[in-house]
Amino acid sequence: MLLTEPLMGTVFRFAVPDGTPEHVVREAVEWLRWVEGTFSTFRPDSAVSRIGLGTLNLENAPVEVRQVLSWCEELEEATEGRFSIRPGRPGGPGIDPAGFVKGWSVDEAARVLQTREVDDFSIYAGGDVLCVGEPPSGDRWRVAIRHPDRPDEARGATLEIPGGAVATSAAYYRGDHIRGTHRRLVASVSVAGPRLGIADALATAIFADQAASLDWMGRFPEYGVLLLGADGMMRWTEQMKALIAR
Amino acid sequence: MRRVLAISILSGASVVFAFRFAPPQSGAITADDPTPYEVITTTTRVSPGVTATPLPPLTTTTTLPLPPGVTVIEGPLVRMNRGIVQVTITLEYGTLIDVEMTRYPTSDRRATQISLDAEPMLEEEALESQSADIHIVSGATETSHAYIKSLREALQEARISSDR
Repeated sequence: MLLTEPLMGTVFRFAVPDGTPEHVVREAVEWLRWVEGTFSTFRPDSAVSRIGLGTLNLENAPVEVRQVLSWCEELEEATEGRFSIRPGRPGGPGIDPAGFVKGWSVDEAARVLQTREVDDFSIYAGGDVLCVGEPPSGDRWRVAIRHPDRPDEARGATLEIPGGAVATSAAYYRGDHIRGTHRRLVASVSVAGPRLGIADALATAIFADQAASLDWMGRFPEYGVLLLGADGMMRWTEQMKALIAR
Repeated sequence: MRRVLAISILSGASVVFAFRFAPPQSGAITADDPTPYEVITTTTRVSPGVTATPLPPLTTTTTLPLPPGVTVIEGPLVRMNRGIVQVTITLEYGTLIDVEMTRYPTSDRRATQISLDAEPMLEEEALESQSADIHIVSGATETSHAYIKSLREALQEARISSDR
């Protein structure tokens, strides 16, 4: 059973076993809506916007916000500044944890489903995915990675994962960035690992500096990296190797 | 539900084919959106099996081999600075079961080839999440504001409550 929901400026899709009560999924969606309202930088009254603008003290913010911002600080350090919540988008409140929040909120939404005894499901969140439990068929979840040249038509690669997260960061519209000095060599970065929040932040970080260095990824031994190059080739880290189905 | 409606969502806009590039018929800029976009065509609702009530002369009827209860709604074409975006949603007895990007900005140039030792990407395999050997697809193409705009219009057509 598929349930699709527009959230956080993108589309979420829950694939749950047939017979799952819809209200269980609705509960997860309500959580995501709360996250959106609390963390959105597009809403001037959200907690994150007010923190950024200085009208809300951190200690008065919801505990989830304080937790997330502190994790984001840790990620910034571990990625040596490649992932950063500052300054955020132009015209925004000066901070933007969105690169972590979407994935993290999906990890938490998965817990909501699990506590309601939904054990086998996947959540699609605007191109990032989290797979939990048994796949609908076969032993492992088969996750296609969009082809950077034809993102809505072809696969660039296929992963087979026992469960967990795959986040992909990409610039699919090439016209924007191939001119000028900053020629992109990495068309898309996929990160696979246990938690979608971390995978999402790491994919963003690696894409931001075009995988110029991946040494720092040693701090994340559970996460593998797959690069789809503008040259039509794919490259991967050791942790990803066992997950590539082709 | 055996009918085709071609509905002009913008007053005064004429109906344009969903799959045809056309100059802007009318513009609608939403001020609260950070990315400027225009809605450049109208929404066409296609229900299965279809007998046409009077249609504007320019509208074609798409006959789709859909099972009963399934409705496909094409969102409006939305122009953004990188190209034109359109989403199509599929409903089964009123429940949204699929969202597909049916038009997306096309690249205008290919990157320069560079030569490095690595394995080639897949080129030939179709991306079908419904296909037997794929459970889910990763790779964000659904994040643009134009996409969301087109989706919201389609959802409004379907009278499904969309994101606030």
